[in-house]
Amino acid sequence: MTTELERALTRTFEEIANSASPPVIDYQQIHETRTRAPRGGRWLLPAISGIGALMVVVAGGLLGVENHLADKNTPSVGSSRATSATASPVDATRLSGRWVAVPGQQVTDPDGVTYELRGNLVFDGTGTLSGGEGCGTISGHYALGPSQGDIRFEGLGTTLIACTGPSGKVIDQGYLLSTLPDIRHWEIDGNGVLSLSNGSGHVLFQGVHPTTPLPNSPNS
Amino acid sequence: MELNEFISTRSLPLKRAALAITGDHSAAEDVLQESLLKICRRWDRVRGANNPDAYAYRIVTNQALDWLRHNVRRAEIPWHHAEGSVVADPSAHVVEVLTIHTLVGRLPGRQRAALYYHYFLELPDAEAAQILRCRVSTVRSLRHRGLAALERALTAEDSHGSGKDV
Repeated sequence: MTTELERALTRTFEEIANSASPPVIDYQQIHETRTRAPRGGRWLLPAISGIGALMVVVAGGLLGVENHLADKNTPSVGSSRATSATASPVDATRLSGRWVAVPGQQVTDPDGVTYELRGNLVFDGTGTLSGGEGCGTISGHYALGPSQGDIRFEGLGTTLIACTGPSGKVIDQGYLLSTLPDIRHWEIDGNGVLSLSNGSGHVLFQGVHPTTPLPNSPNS
Repeated sequence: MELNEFISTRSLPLKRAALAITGDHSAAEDVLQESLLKICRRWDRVRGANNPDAYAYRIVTNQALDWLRHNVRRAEIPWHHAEGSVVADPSAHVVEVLTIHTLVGRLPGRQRAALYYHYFLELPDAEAAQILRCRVSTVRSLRHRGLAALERALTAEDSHGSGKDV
């Protein structure tokens, strides 16, 4: 038989649980854990986002494998280091602002679910990134350079509020978060479309400023 | 289930458990992150476990209890409420919740955990035993001792309050 105290206890735990804010997960750290070789360095496990292939590492270095998270020579990113020494302030200015995904981009998240990307990314011009896919908020840092058009993302995290559908299945939240660590280059074409691409040149995100007419729109 | 789906769907419930045990929002955030790293390192084991959720809760519980052990000087855990919390509402319900809240914060961590898993998550004792790595009888004992301590504390508060009125 449930006593009044037990009922009060249930209500109290409900209050405690409800007071918990959506967690901000440091996916960067998790990604590093997932890709870090065991002592002495031998195997890298596939990255959490599914972007990493099984890779062989020799002690002390990487063998022809691009993995900036394990590369200590990669300049680390922070808000005070928005642009590297060789990235021009003009680059930072051009990139800064809110970029909304160009409609119609079909993307596949790490779970293999394909959907139309409806996300946005905001570059604040000083190295801080925010954005999201309508489900939780992505935050992190970016650094431009060393060469023109180079970019790297670090310290990515997300809040996870309302990220599951009625069935409990995660909806449309994994693509940007899993893709951003792979991005190496950025470019803004003559139509004002920002393209972010990986080391192989595959475009993984295309966005426009909300005020920019879309390339295919009648007004463009 | 893949790791990132597991993280996405379980992080908030796991954080709630961490919060219930530590009573501290920032500690709960740290406990969750540390736990996720452990889950990540042991993902094959977690995924292959009979009950991956119980495994994850066990990691969080241990991590939260560790945090409590390292904060032993804080005899009473301050329970921080979220912004705009119910404190401004002096209804009987709120007073009750705040009172129990404070008293739960004085219980040992394992008793708190046992109470949370029973009264909030409504887990069977066998599952709570899996999480707390103890016998089913120990889970019951933790719960009964926790309840008894709360009853004693409430009675003491009542008599203290009525004494003041006299």
